[in-house]
Amino acid sequence: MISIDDGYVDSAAPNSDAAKNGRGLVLKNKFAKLHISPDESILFGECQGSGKEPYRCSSDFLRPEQPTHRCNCPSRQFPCKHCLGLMYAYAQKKKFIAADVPEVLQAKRDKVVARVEKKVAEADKPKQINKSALAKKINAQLEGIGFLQKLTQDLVRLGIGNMNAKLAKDVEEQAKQLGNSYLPGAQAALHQYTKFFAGEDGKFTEKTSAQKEMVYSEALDQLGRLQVLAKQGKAYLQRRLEDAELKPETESSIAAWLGHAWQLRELKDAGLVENNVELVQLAFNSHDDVARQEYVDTGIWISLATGKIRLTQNFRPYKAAKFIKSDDSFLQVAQVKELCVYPGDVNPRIRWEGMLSRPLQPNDLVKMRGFGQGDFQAVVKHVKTTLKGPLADKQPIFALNFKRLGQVADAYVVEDAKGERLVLTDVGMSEEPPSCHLLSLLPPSAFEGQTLVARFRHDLDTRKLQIKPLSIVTPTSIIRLTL
Amino acid sequence: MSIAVLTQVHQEIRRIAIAGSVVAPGDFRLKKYLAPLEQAGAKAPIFAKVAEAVKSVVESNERTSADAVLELTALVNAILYTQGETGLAGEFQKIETTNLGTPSTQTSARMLKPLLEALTTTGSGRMELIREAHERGLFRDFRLVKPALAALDDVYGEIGDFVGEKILPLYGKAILPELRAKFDLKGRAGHPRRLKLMHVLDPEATREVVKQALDAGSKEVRVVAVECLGSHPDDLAYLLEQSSAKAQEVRQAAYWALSAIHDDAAVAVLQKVATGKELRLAAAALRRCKHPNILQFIIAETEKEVGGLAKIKDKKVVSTQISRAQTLVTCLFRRKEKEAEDFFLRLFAQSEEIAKIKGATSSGSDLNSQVVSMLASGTQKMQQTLVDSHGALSPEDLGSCVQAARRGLPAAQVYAVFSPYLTAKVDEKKKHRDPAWAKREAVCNAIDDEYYYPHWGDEDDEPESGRGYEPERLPTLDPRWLDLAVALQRFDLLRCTIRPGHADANAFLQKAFDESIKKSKNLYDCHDVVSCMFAAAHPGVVEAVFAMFDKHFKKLDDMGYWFSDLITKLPKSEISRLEAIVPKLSENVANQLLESIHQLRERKDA
Repeated sequence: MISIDDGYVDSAAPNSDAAKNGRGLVLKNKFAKLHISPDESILFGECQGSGKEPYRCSSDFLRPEQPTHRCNCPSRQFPCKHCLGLMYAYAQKKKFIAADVPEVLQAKRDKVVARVEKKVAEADKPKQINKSALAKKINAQLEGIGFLQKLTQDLVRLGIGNMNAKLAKDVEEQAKQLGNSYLPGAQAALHQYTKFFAGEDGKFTEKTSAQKEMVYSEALDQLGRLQVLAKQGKAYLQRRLEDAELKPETESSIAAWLGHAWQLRELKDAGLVENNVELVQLAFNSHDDVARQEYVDTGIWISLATGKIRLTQNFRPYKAAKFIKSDDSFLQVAQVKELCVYPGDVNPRIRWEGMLSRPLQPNDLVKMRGFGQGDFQAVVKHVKTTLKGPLADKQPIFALNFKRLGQVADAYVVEDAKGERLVLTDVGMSEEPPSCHLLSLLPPSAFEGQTLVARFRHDLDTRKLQIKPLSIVTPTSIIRLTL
Repeated sequence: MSIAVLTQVHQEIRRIAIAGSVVAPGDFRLKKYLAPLEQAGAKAPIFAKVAEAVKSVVESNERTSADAVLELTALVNAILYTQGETGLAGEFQKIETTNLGTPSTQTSARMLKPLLEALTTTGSGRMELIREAHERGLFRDFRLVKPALAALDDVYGEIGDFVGEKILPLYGKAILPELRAKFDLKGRAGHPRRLKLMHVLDPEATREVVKQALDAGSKEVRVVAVECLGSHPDDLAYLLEQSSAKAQEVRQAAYWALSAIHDDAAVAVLQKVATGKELRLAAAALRRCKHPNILQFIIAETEKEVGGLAKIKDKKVVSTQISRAQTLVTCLFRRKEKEAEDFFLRLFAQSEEIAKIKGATSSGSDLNSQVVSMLASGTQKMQQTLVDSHGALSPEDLGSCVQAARRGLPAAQVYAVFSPYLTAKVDEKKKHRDPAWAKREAVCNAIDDEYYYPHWGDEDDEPESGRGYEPERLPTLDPRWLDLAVALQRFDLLRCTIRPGHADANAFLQKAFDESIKKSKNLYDCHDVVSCMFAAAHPGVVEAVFAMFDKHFKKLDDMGYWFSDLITKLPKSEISRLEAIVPKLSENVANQLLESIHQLRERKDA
């Protein structure tokens, strides 16, 4: 029995246009055939498109938590409007005639069943590694690392001050070689460097001396990071070359820095899984990462059991952005059966495959506030220890229980019970929109005895460690300051 | 001390990295830190390590320098990252907040993102998005404050105005610092809006800025600054000064502001203007000014202009003077004082003599028409006088007379006076050449015009027009007009007088529809009749709509907003029937119909 309603189909749509178009197909009576299997586990039908032949689409609910949508239309949106229309038709109680599943479709279903069974069976089996292919890949990566090291040193020889728009563009061209060497992470790190010489739109334009002066320290730091990445990456890859059985490293983030795309299976194998976790989103932002040429949706989540703050990240490359469902802010409690945690430092990335949700209760807020750290000195020590690692996340996020939030001259400060202060700023943290200016719009009750979720940043030029406010957790709500 | 050395080393390595590592070998400025670092290294090994890295840089060659520089950079930065300064000494002060009520930040990113884009980018369709978001209360989400402030400078002026007038005032004084910081006296576009908004939010605190704007602002900013004046005792002096400003727009704004101040000096300025070339520029201000001196002055000035007309031979001069008299007369629009009433009645009494005056471009008859329209919107006595003279009026002025009667007389009397014009014998062939025909049409048109374009109830018609006008609600027409419309088979009169349940009218409409659908070449040809059928709650209206579809759906490539409007008036029970039509339509029309069906489904019936 398939139990879906219009709301379910709305949420399955990759965007609001797809939902509207799918709904329109039903109203325009574009479905020539609407069928349901005798066991009521799959919907299938034919939808008239612009061509002579209709599109054959189906929505398979054999696995209700993860339905399979199939259509022979050329759309890259998933599910396409035809599958959405099919589901809308069912949700709107259109007449579906019971019919046997066509052979071609049944064959595909069988394949899925077999694949799932195989997956389950293989979950316990150790993964077979094609050693020669792996060795070939690692050799290519080592070659790429060598190239990165040489390029980094060339850039230092050239001098940061001599970088200009044309050179930065040339470096980006050369950086493609890293992508070809299976090092997308290293490529992105190199883009982070060239980004300093680009405008906000990602285009390389000549900068004034004053503009250049502002980026020198950060650029030098990034070059240092590239050098460390090359060295540590080389050592790591050589270790893996010598021992083909060696798994990607989970103790550090070096694998991710090189661009290893962690699969959930790998994370599970590495034991990086937490079961039955409840998460609350503290903040969300969607930004355009011109260096990576993609949109990045970032959710900042706190675990209600441990208080750990971790991140979900959805990368949507420009070229495929239309076909990838964007993440949205989430205002309830996510109940995750199996949470996979990536290797990382303070705020590692997390992912999950399926979840349920429940409303946020005052008790949840009490728990979250309980995880905030009230001793700023201890937090700062932790942050500094983290930051000194060259490949560490340079802008870690913490929840701080503050006594009061106010101003010293023109600066906003937050103070703990011992009188330790941290200065709030928006400088250097452009992924999220500015948030400090919003403080003057908050009720006075938000400034005493609350929990501030903040991002730390060390400014290399001023040598100041300051924080950017992301949200304030009060006993009654989460006041989000960013988007 | 040692950390200070590290900071110096960082500066030096930064300098070398900027210039290029080729300058590193033997760098004497870096080298001088070697000794203090080695000395510190005796106590803390980390400094010895830094000293070693510095030595590597200094002793490097062209080939190894880059590596050495990066090693030193990584090491020094790692240490400096642990030395970040936190805290800030000074007196702790509470944040001055503005109570926006309970902040609502629960709007989802997917809803806010398009709105942010609408506020911060360019392109079509943004105004609707912003207006809709405002109606839905999304701007209570204070994360939109900054983008909304930026939208004051939007290239599309309507967005800037809407944000300034409807949205930003929601945030109260909290946005004043930002407004002040961004305000540019010499600016255009968004800056006048900023000044206006600052004045709305805090007139007292903005007073100084207004004064500065008057002295040194751009033309646009000065116009707004002048508009901000008027409520303070000191304002008069500023306004008097601005009334002789070089820019015409500034002078006009000053006249407008002065018109609200009951002061002899203000009146003197307006009187002076009324005698000169800027009469038209100041007309709205003169109309707004309720000072008795102004009334007397305008009456005297008009009588002077009119009185001298008979002696003037030059037709051009006659035209100019009549034109001035016409403008002066409009300055007394809706004045109900006894002097004004007497004045208009005097002028109306002279209309026969005035009609004889001929000018080059304007003649006495033009002035008479102006006087008639003033009587129509004047006191009851003025309106009654006009109606009493209906027989003597030209067809052109008869329309104003009908409008006066509809405002001043009972509906039955209006019918009694003017229905004979409709039943009078006319020569249909002569048309305008037959005065009876022209008067019949004038009466019909006057009723029809006010059905479609009701007069605006303008208390104060501001110079830049258009703020807060409400259509005037006229008394209902006598029901006999509908009988007359049916009897005369006049659809134009019928649609103004239609009401549900009139059997003859329904029969007439059905016949009219049958004829129009037969002749129709597209949907629009039947639109007027079907709209009228809706107003009549005609039993055949639903079938009429579907008949229109049946006849024209094949060639239909656009439904038109007016037809979409009709669809949304259908009973909800017809939704399934409408949906059945959708598959027959072209893609574009199907989408339009789906949108109308959606609106029909969402319609809230009483």
